Amino acid sequence: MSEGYKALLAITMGDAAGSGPEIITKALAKPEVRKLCRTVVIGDAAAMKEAFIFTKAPGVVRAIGRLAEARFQDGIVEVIDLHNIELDKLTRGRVDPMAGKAAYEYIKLGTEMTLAGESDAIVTSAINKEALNKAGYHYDGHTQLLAELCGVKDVAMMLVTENLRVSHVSTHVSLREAIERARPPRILTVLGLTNEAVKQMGVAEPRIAVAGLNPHSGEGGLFGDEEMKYITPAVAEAKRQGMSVIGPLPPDSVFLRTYEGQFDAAVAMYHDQGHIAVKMLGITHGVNVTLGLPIIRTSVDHGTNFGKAGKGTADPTSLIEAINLASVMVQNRKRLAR
Amino acid sequence: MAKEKPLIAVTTGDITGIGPEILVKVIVAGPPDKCRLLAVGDAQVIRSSFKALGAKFDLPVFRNIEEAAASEVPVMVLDLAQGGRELLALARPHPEAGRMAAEALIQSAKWAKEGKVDAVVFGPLVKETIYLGKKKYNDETEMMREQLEAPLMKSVAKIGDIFRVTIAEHVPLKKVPELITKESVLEAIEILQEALIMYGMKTLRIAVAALNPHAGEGGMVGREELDHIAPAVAEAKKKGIDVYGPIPADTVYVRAFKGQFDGVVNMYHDQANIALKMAGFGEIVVIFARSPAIITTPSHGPAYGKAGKGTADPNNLRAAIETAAFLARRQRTQ
Repeated sequence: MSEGYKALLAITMGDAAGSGPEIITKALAKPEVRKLCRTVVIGDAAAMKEAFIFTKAPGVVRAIGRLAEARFQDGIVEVIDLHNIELDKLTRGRVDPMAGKAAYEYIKLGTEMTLAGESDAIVTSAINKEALNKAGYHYDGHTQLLAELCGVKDVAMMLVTENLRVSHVSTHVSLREAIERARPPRILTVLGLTNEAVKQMGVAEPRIAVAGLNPHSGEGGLFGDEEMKYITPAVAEAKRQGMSVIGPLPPDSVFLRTYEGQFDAAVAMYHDQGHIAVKMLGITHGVNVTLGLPIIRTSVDHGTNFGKAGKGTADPTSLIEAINLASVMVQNRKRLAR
Repeated sequence: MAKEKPLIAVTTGDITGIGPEILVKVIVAGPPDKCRLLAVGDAQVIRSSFKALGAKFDLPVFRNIEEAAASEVPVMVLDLAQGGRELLALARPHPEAGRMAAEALIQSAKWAKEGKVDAVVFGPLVKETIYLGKKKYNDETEMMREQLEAPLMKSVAKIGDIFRVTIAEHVPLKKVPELITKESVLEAIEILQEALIMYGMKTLRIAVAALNPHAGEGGMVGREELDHIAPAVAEAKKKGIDVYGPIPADTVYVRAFKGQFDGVVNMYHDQANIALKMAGFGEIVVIFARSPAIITTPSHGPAYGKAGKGTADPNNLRAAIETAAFLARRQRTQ
């Protein structure tokens, strides 16, 4: 493919009761976004039309039935209309099972289209876990749902903010459980996934830092031995496989060192270890990337923001960054495959 | 003790590390002007440290604390005549240096307890070598609790205008969940409130961090919030404390730095330290609550890698001295 290839991204509308639709109208109005990639929204056309009224963003909605009908013209947001939101029944700003069910259907179609190669990547808007569960879909979030739709098990969450990329050995489990999950096979899997993803993000030879689990990385066994027993062997094996990996490093400085440019990514041993570091940088423009899927998936790094729904004031920066990153990853994947 | 400016005893800490160097740098740059400094340690070691930095040593040296305290001198040395010049900037832990540092700390703290000095700032120590006589302690807090007969002493970190207590600090992460009980959380909340009052904070808003991601999400990813942390917060509220939580650990400092809280109770070491490093906080001062004397220390260790190079940064020690002086002046006006 030539440098001029414009990735085709499937953007899911997310929870219609939240600010997702409004954020999409703002993000897709940006000329730099239109220039970088082609987009199609999977959602509800009426909800998207109403979102334009709330935000007064330039552009109009064009409802289509399937991707092949898309023409990707400026000023037009094309929505594959699943027609699954009854606007007069929608309770905006609150958990609504109708919106939860609809959000599930957008993700399902977006994943199928991307798996089939019709779209190059899926970019997801925020969903509400409770709405999803009340609609009968019992997942702890996007990641688990996407893994199931794609038929894979070994996935990992990476957060990307400014200069900081952090992937996680575990995420949505208790701290006790997280400590049990930090074992060599899983750490090695996450290292491999991180290495591949960072290459797709444009770094030819990623340098990856691995956080310890315990304070001061255990300080030679004084504060815990998981570093010696599990992390160091996993790092050694990753090196043997040719990856450029360093660690375990003390958790309280590894993320800062990564942010300052010493490494291209850091691997966190548990959810809060990585999330604390990323969120301290400012949570308005983070991107969440799922590693280990057969497709490229990026997502906004915030919730449905019910408080801002219908007000037209929600910040689109995270979605814009998610779209940018997905486009970059699609282009690099094509380049690396050559 | 009727002197206008409080007298602050400052120990050199572990002399194999950067302790003496940063103390000399503070003295040479001019100590904080709202206190008098008493450098406590071996006079020959302190003299050598001046020489190593190319600075002239012209401080009065006392052997007797009463004489030192009675003098009007702004900066002076209290010579413990411990020896140890051969250990200076050795750049690794040494039991003898640890013993000297511990002696200086406990001696100074006893003087403070007796009212002979107004506060103590101790230089950086390393846990491996905290010996007093033949007895080895796990950390300085344990030693002070025993030696000063203050079994409830607890360290509190001062980070700018935010104060922090950590329940399970230097323990393996695996051991942390079992240390989180309703009692331990409630105690930490109360200690933090005492520290805020001691420092004279106008508002006493305390945030309690969760242990599990998303604060356990209603028990779905961990039960410590439901079983221990929330009940402790409820109990503290009943006692009239302005307390909030459990709050997800990945947002609690974001909110604290926005000015929403004055203090944070952390469950474990990295919960706090990752956030603070990312926020670029260098000068964290450790103070002690439930202590019979005002005691502070810089938050860094002896930094062996920098020992003897002349490049160590004295600002954390200076901040610890300023905090001690502030607390001493405040205590006088109470």
